[in-house]
Amino acid sequence: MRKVLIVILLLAAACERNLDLSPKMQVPAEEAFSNKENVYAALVGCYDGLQLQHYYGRNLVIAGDLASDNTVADGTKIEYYDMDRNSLLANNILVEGIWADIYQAVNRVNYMLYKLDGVTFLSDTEKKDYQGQLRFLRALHYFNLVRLYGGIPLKLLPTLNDEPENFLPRSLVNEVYSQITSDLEFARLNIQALKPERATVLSATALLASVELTMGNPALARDYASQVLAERPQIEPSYKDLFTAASEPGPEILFYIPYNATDKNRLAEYNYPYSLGGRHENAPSSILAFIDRDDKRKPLVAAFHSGKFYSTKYSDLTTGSDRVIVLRTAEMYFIRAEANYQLDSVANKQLIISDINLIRLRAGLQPLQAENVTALRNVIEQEKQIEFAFEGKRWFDLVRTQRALDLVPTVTQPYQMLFPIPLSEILANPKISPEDQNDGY
Amino acid sequence: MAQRQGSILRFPRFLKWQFFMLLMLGMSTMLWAQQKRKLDFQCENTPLKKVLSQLSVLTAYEFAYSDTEINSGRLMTVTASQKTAEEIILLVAQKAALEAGFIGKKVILKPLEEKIHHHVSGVVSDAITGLTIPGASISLLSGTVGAISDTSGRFRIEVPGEGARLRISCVGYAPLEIMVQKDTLLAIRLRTEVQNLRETVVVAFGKEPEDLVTGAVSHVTFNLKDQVNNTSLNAAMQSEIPGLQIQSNGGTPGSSYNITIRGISSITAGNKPLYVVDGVPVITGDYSQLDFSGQAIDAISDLSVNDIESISVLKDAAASSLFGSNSSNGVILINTKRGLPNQNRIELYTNFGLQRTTGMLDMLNATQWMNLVNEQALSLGKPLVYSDEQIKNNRIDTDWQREVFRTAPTYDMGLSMRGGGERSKYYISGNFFNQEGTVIGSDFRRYNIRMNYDLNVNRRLTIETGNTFAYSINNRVEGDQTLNGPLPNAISMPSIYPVYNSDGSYNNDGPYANPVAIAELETNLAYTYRNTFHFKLNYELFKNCTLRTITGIDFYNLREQTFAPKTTRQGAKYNGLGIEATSNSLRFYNSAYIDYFVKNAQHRIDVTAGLSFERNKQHDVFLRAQNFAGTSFRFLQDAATPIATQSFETNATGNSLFTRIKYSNRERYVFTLNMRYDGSSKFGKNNRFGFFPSVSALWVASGEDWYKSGVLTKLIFSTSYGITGNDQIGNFMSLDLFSAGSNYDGEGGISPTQLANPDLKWESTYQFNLGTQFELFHRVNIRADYYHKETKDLLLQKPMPTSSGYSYIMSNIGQLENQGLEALVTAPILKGDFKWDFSLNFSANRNKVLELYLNQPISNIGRAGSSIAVGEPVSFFYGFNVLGVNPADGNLVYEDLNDDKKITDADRKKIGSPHPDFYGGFGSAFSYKAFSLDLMFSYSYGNDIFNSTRIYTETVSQSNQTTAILRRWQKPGDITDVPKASVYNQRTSSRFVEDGSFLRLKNITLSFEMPLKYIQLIGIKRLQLFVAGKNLVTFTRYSGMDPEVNYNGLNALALGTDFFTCPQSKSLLIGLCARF
Repeated sequence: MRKVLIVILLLAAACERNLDLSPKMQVPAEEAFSNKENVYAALVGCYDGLQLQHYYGRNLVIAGDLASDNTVADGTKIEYYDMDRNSLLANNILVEGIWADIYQAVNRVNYMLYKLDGVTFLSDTEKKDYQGQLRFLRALHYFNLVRLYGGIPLKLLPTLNDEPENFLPRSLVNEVYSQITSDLEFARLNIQALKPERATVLSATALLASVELTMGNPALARDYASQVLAERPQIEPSYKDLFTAASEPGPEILFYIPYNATDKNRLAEYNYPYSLGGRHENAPSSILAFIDRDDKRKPLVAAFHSGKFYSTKYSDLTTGSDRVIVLRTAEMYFIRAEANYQLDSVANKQLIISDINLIRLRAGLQPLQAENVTALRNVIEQEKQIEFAFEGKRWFDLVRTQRALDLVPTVTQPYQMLFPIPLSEILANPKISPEDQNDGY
Repeated sequence: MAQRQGSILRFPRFLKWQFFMLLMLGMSTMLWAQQKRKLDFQCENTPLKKVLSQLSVLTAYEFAYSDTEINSGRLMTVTASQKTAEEIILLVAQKAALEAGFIGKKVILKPLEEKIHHHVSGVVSDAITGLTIPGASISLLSGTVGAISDTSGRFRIEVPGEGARLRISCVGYAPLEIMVQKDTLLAIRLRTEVQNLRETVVVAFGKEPEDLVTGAVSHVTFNLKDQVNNTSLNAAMQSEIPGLQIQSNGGTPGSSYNITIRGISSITAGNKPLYVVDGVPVITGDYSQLDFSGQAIDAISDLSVNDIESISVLKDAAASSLFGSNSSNGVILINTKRGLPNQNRIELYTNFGLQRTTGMLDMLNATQWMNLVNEQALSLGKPLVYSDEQIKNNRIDTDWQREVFRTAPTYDMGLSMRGGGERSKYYISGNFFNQEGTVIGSDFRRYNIRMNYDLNVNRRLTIETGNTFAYSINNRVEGDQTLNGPLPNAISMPSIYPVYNSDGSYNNDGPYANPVAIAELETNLAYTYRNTFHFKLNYELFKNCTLRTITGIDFYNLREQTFAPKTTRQGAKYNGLGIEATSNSLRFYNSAYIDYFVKNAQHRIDVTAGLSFERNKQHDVFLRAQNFAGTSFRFLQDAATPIATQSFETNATGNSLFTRIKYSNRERYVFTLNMRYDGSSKFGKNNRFGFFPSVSALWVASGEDWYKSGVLTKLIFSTSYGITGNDQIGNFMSLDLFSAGSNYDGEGGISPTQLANPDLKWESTYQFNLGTQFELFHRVNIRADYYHKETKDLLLQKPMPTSSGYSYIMSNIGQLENQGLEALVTAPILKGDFKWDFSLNFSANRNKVLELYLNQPISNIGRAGSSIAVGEPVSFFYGFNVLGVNPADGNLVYEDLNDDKKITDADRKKIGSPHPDFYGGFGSAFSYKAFSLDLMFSYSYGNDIFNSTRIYTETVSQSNQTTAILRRWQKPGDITDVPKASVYNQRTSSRFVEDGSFLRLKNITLSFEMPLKYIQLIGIKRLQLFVAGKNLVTFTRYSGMDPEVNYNGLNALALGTDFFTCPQSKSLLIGLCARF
């Protein structure tokens, strides 16, 4: 009997050893930050978070126009129609996906920030540079989230397991904004990177300008926008070249997300009509379709084929390599103009008009004459609408100014200016109950 | 680690050791045999008593006998040289007319019973053809004597005398018992086995007499009717076996089936049963990397039905728990044909058939379409799109469905050689199967070669091998999910567009790609290369104790190639698109076990104990490129832009120890205990090993002495309880991982992708079974079972708040149950010249989810928006309940469940279930002289289908519409069931739920056996001609093309949903089966 037992034990031991396989496609988490190359790869992975399909890879950019008066749904997917008609269900795939993908990007940043503390093989400057870039990314993520969903869980640490301490309740909107500004202040002081594909001091400042305008601090917004424009006043001479993937990004582009055939985005596919092999989920509304024929932006905003209008800002159906621009100097002119308007629309009228005319001239339009302009706010608003159409900014502007209620026919109640908190989050997060859902949903 | 990554054929260290052990065991047994001493012995006219005492000194045997029984003073003369002790003892006993019985070191001598020796001779022949049957076995019921008929069917056997009973049996024939009357030449005529051959059934690691199997096992011997369904094994089994639900995923050639045994017992871990071919678990499932519109390619379809002798389906824990962690979805044991002793038989099987689709949709013609478009424009206050003139003069009215559907041929041919001698047997076959799809551009070809060889090396050692090669080419077209498939595009394309332009080129106007152009211009090929090998060794260690080893290697290679030239709409998008994807899988299996039994007249104990090891490896490559130089170069070097260049590798191992102890008392009470201890690399460090026991018992009530056989001529009860496991999840799901591939700006990046769960463990199913078998009037056989299965520790993706950065973590959460009844009735209603055998099977399963993570439903599965929720069956349809069409505005009136005057998500409820109340099949086999007719119906009752095709074909859009749209609401006051076109009316609702019940004549086969006298002349021994029809008649109220479809075979949870799914075909075949 003892012999039998020994044999069984031997077999069991052999069994156990045999079952120790390790994956060949991935690395265990403890190895991920073990050397300089891996740490750099993890930083690249954090930037890659921007490219996720519900983020700048497609849906955030589409939602920013579709929810507004810029575009209409004309494809086959019901979730895009619901977004267009501002009748969102809490389980709408865009609502769920944008939230999940941005938070995935947040977790990558938090994971790396958390691990960087223990890293000894980087110099202090390198480490600070990385931290600065990461905090820029986190600020961008939270800025997008807070504008879409209101107060959100403000996660600053990575999720390491499924224990409840990893899950947070909704923070207040101003808590989120103060984290965003503190992240951006840190970024402005520590980033070394200079390329427009990466976070830079300039792009951190530009983002701050946008954040301050949204927070209702026009003076600060104007200062930051002017700081950017002082260093980088140029705009691309040809509007079309901004969006041509083949051309190098010019000085106007402060921060953009490059794509290639491997990490392709699907904006062209979703914007193009069927007749050209697209899906036409995001099509120009009649407002965009009937803009001035002489406007050089028109072919990019509302081209026409087989009875359908469509945008050609993203035109690489073949490989999806179109760049997605997050920040460019033109927006700084608009921010400055709008801040100036809010601060003193009468005194600053000339300044505002000169900023706007810069953009109009590039579009091949007649410059505005100060004496003819009556409703200055509408001018800024309309000019910006066309300039940034299909860049996913219009909804944020209309919500910031509360103008969605006036301009978007399907927005009839104030609650519609926030997306619902995703149903899956409410179901799975013990710290967010159905009562914590945004009003109206 | 480096060593493990080496040659795939290298035995793992553990196995080397195991082989070494077996080798040593075998060698020592043989040495012991050789060491037996050879002796010389001589005596002359010596009294027996003295001879025995001399022998007892010489051989060390003791002799026991009674002087009164034997004449111990008898004088003996014996000479023996170089003989073993036993041989000498037997020689002496023979000369003294005594019987010697050895018990250990004792020999008991008894006088030889007086025997009257009779010899009986006879000829065995086929009752219908009159052809003699070689290799039939003839045995004496009361004894051990046996004989085998020779090549001309003749035999000679020694019997005790008149009244002795002989049993004559042969594979493929019903066994026959006769009483010997006189010393005459017996003419024995065997009838072909029409009903199933119910002698022994194959069970886990062995065979057992069917009546005495304690677990729930269904056994089917394949015959002509199954061969007709050579498309796949699953097609052949469909609706024949109670408890086995096989649903077609669509009618494209080579497509997969959704198969469950006794209900869905898992949610996200695999739901497929384990397939074991000749004792070796094989690769099954889908390895396609091109998520090809949900049309899976199932690896099991590489097996040719022509090669299958029989199958056993192991349904309860008692039957399947010896397969441990792989067994909770049940096990299908497949036995291929093997050689036959003392004969050589060549068989040719061939058939040719024509198929058509079982259904089409009634779409609008050009005039109807133009009027519809006009009306729509009018109602929106827009100008008319088509003038009366245009409508009148329109010459183009394309019936797109007719353009893509066709009458398609199938062809099947198998040639086999089957035979052997006394000690070795062989089965060699080659099969070719060709099926063109009923949709243009699709076809499937398969070539198989099988060689099974058995060798009796000596009395102790037998070897069994099997070797197959299969090659198949599946020419697919996209379907279902895309707008790039011939069928969905044909349905969606309005009739006003022509197929060709006047110059003969494809017309590419219209809202969708030209379906004919897609089928003709695009290449979508899938090639499989499959090689399996098994080697079994049985060595009798000592009496009643056999060591068995099974080694199996299964190598599966799937290569997919697609090419869309720039002349197609899809290709134009990418300026030519090409994909090459290959997947190599290797499954290595090894087990060694010992069978032992002891018995006497009353008791019998069988013990099986052993171990097994398996290893799975998979390696995939995926390449995608765009910008092709031309339209005729379809290989990737002709593309300018590589898009994806990816490769993957993964592996898993499992080890097990198992044992079965079976006790039987007079074959009246049988008890079985199974135990298996399993380890798998897929689970967390803390929970790698699982223990899977089962117990079962069987009582043959009709075997009791007190049993009065009246109406119930046989009555058997059986019951079982046990645990089986499921580990069918991805590899490495218990680890905390960072993955590569998070690239940005041309640089490689990594990111966290999976949270660790070191406690991850088996999903376990606890199953109780209560069964009964009874026979009425010696005629009607009924087997009925009730079962209750409860699956615990479900392997489920536990939802994480997505604000954590993760959506899920793989966990053991939740429970579900299945309980049901199943019955099989078989009855030979008429015997004699006109025979009628009837069979009916019935299954009713009730599936219910008992627990989920925080009991939160899992929703929005597939196109039906199916849901999984506590208290409901898996994947029921969930949506808005439609009360009708509002005559005032033409919109659907959805039920406002919470009465808040708004239709929100909260107003959704269960609107249907894809699970049938009951399902099964019934059939009859008639035969009269040389004719036989086989009918098989399949049925399903009470299941719903979510017809999501209608979301697009019953609403006004750019797609063509079914004629139902003509009934739509147009103006206030209209009372109708078809609402006006609006996204609001396209929501997932009961509007699209339909009754999916059906009754289908699945198979009808009429065959004729040519009389021998006509075919003998040309050297044919048997010739069977047949005509068969498949799916010829269907009764259903379902409005889609086919009630037996499911759009996404890849998603085991998207059940009962139709979405432009290719319907099954109905076909008519003619064929023959000849034996030389």
